[in-house]
Amino acid sequence: MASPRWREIAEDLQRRIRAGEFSGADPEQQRAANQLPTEARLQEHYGDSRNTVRQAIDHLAGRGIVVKQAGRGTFVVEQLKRFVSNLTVGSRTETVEYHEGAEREGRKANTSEPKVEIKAADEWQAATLNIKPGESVVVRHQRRYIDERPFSLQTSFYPMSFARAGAEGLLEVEDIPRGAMAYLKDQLGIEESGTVDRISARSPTPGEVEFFRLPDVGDVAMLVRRRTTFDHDGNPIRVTVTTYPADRNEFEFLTGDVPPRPA
Amino acid sequence: MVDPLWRQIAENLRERVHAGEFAKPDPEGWRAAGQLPSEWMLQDHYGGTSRNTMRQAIEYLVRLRVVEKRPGRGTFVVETPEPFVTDLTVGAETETIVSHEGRTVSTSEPRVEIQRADAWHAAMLGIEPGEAVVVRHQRRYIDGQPFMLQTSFYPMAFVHAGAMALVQLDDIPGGAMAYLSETLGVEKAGTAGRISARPPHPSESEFFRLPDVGAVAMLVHRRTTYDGDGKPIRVAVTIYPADRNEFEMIDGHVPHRPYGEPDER
Repeated sequence: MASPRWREIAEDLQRRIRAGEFSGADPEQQRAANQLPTEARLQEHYGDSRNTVRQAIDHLAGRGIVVKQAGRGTFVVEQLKRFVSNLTVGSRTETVEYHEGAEREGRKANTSEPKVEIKAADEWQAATLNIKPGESVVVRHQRRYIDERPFSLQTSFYPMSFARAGAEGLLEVEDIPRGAMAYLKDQLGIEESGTVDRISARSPTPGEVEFFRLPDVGDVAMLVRRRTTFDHDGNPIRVTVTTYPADRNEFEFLTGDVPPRPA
Repeated sequence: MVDPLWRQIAENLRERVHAGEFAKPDPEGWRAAGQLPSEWMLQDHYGGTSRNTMRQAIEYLVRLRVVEKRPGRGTFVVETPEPFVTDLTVGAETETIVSHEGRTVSTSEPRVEIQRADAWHAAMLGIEPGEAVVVRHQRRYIDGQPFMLQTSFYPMAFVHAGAMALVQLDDIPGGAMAYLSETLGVEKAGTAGRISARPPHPSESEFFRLPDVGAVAMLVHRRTTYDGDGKPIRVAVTIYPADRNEFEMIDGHVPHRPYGEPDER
């Protein structure tokens, strides 16, 4: 089925943007670097009405691909510099590595205050946390930013029985100082023995498209990292699902001796 | 900006699919297991929306591989098979497929090329652009289904120095690293792995028989092996379609697979 004309134009413009067609200035077209041609020139290029071209541009603006600057024109939004998450963290916590990793690159990592929910475990949560479906689960969400730009979304799941047994910090709407694993050890004597990471990729959900200001669904994949932490008896303590848009994130893992990564 | 109606309907349908609403057959026999209601029933459900809008919504979900059309039978939820799991655990000697024991893994004969290094090859291998590079491609299948493409790059200097097996159209018995160690005394000191994801190239869509460009992401694993002086010996790039592959990494002590863990919804 044919999609509407404005959509075709939007897709073509997006392709041209990705190909870097507008990255340099073009004095002949009176374009600055990263500026789109004027509406009149786009009308001429596509042979369409002003209205249709505007709809296409509005679509791109709504997706954060271009930005309209009143009186100046329409500009391509800069591509985000890739952030490399090191997955070989050894004894450091993932959160510490996240902040240090950004610092090493001269960038700044932030996290939102956690959003905390209590939910009845669905089948997946129940099976991963080794509890019964319908039992309560503590869910902690955090939005993670680098240089104020959204880079990842992290959600951790804990059995509610931990909070009932005395680890009420899991229910608080603030970061757990020193990390949840150290806290659970202090409060309940539960100790981490190992972790299993699973990495996959899928299309973004509508919520992710909105938060990360992604172009249309399907153009940018989400890297999904699912980490389960086990105690010494092999019981799961926590499951953390972190989603990373693949247009701005990569994972790295090192073995043995390798030269330092160039800055 | 408000999404067009077809898109809103598509997102709602997608949520209903993921919630498992269509998993069981309809008790009155209108639908089989995994089947979507008929077009006109859906039109009715979405407030008497037009046939056109309904079709646009379904086409979109077909493109995203959420549902598929079976000619003469209707529209069905796409079942995702258990993924192949590749173990990337730090310290593991080579990548191993840890799931699906009892399945047959087969590898194509390598295709070997000698190329002039472009800027990317040169930077990766620490050589000058224009120098020669040995490129070895292999295709891997599980039970006849294509599941990965691997390309390894070596400086041609190794061949000049006597490592002739790098340009032979055979697997290198015992692996290239052991061979380079024996033949040239080049020893591996460490590896740096990178994982990223991107849309498939057209040739990848064809090889992996993917539904449509964009619907399935490619997981890209790039591994650089270094010698004791920090010089790259090899760069291996392996491409895995994300609809049938996952990676796994283990740290510390964990219970034996399958950890009681099902796949993510």
